[in-house]
Amino acid sequence: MGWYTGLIRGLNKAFLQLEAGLNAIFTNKYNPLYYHGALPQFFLWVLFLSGLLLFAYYIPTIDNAYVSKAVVNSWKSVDYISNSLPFGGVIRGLHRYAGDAMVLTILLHTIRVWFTDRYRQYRWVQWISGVVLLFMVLFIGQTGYYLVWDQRSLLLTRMTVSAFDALGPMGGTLKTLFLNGEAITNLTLSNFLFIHIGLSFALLFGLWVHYMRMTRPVLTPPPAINYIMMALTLLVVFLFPITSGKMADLNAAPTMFDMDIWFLWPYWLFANMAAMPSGAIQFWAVMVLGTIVLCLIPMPGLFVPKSQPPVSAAEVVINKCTGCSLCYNDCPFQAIEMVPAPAGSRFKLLATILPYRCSSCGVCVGSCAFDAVDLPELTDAQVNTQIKQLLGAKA
Amino acid sequence: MANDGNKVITLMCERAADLNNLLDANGNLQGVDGVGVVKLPCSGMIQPLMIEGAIKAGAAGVIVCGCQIGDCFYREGNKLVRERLLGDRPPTLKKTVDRRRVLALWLSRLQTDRFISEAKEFVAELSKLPAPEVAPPPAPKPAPKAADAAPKASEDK
Amino acid sequence: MKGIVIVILACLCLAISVVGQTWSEMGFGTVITNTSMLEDPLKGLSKMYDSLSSKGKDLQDVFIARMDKTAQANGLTAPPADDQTPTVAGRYAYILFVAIAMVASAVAIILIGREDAEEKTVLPVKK
Repeated sequence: MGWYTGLIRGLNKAFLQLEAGLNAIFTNKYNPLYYHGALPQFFLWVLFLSGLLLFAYYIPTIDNAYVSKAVVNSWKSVDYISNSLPFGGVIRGLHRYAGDAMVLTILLHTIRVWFTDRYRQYRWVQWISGVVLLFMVLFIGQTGYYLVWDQRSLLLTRMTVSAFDALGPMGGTLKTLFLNGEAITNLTLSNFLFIHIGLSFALLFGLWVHYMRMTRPVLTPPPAINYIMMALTLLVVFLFPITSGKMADLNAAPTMFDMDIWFLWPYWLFANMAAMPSGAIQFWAVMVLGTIVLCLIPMPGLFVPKSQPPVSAAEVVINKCTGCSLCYNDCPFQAIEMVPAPAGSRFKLLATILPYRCSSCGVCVGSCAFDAVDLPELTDAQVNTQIKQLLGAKA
Repeated sequence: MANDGNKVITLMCERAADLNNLLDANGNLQGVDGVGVVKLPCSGMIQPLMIEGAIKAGAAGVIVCGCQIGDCFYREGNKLVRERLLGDRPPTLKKTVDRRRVLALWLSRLQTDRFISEAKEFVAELSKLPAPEVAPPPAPKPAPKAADAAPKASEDK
Repeated sequence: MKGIVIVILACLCLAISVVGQTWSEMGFGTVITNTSMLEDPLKGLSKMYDSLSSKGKDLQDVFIARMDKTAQANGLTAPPADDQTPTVAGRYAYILFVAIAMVASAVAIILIGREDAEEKTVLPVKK
């Protein structure tokens, strides 16, 4: 896989040069590339707050003027928010573009994590939870597009149903769950709203899994970066104000829509593939296989240059450990636990390494004042010997 | 000058400034006189005890070098060792250590030239300080008790 | 030198917020409502608004052009401009001013905060 190693090295070098340029302007304290994980988290808060404001006025029904002239349905409630409520259109635009920004920053985060090699071995939980989170975010965004209930929403809903139709009996169940019935009714819209909001809160649980193997995860960029991100999003809202399409009419058959590539790319893919024979089932094969491949990327030996040595975990010297807990506090990967010391010990606690979480970085070694923890491949004694050799050679 | 013949020891991480082309077989840095380099997986592995030991063994000074703050491959090794050196995080440097003899650099892999220039400047400044005292060899310790002689092991969960 | 830039940015942020945001929120000075408590200060402001009225027209035109483009992409025709347009356009211009003020304050914060960033740490020598 020589070309792959070359690609990674090349990308690393290019990005180090980009970072050097950004460090010259921003310094490392404000370099946005050093907060690539925290940026999507920032947009999530913007989405929650703007979504809360929209939710206050949104009504999830499809009844239109055929039922009663006075009825307010989803489209009308969104129209009311956008055109009658003060700043309603702005908040709607902010919600839409913060969603797009979230997908964009997640992709940048993924790419950086990948080529800086921070996704494998002891970091596999972060990677896999990240893949799951990405698909959750995409699906949440898609339900957001359904909620407007304009012609695009109707077309997207029908496309989703026809994609499920290709899956046989399982597809039938998925279709019923998706539509909350056999046809598009008011229950469908309230289902979409439930998914949109419920899955968004489930993101918080997914993020807990994503963060749990990291000590002191960096969750917020510095406020100055947040202001710039917010300002850029507001600028996009000003330059590209949002309107809905025509109200969805179940008797009509819309065929085209304005594509938002960030969230709706699966629909673009489906539209292009479904035109071919057995294209729909091929679409599902591509999506499922693609997801499996993404999840398998951290597998050792796969997609990884063979020159990377495996990690050998740190080891505690039991008779020297005083249970001071400094290594436990410092370990960046939650790989150390304090357990009750064995009977007969002078101390209360004993540090113990969880080898499957250990990155072999040596931060625990640096935190220990008692030489009670070592990396087997580079012990304190070896480091001190190297130092003495360097000093002895000259004297 | 008082410090001639005393070396500066660099404790640095594998991913910081790229010195691979400048080190000879013994770990001495070419391009700057009197600097030896020890490589560690992460700057967070640096114990204050290592720095104290180096100075007691006769080093003129110690350079600690890690990656750019915010870009540590292991997330926060460089931040932690920086806090230890500044005294904000235990374990800290003993008060008897001459702070002028310790320099910390946070440089990315591309910043080789910056490392060389900082190292040269540090060596020049150290030459103005009086020679460090080499500590006498420690008195022989009493024989360890039987209970303490347990073999090294880690507890697997 | 840096101090002067920071002060200028801070004043810019304040001026944009106080003048630009109030002006645009009030429909570029044309729709001043509910002002019984603010009559006197507003008389002074409304003079400033008058002098900015051509800029207000420009911003409105930008907004109308953008709305037309979006509506077209959605297969609709945008509704014609009416007396509500300055109010609606004003709300979008409001966030433009918020964005500019945020960038000004972010730049000022970064200029100040940069001093803490380190590529080199020299340990303080305690006396």
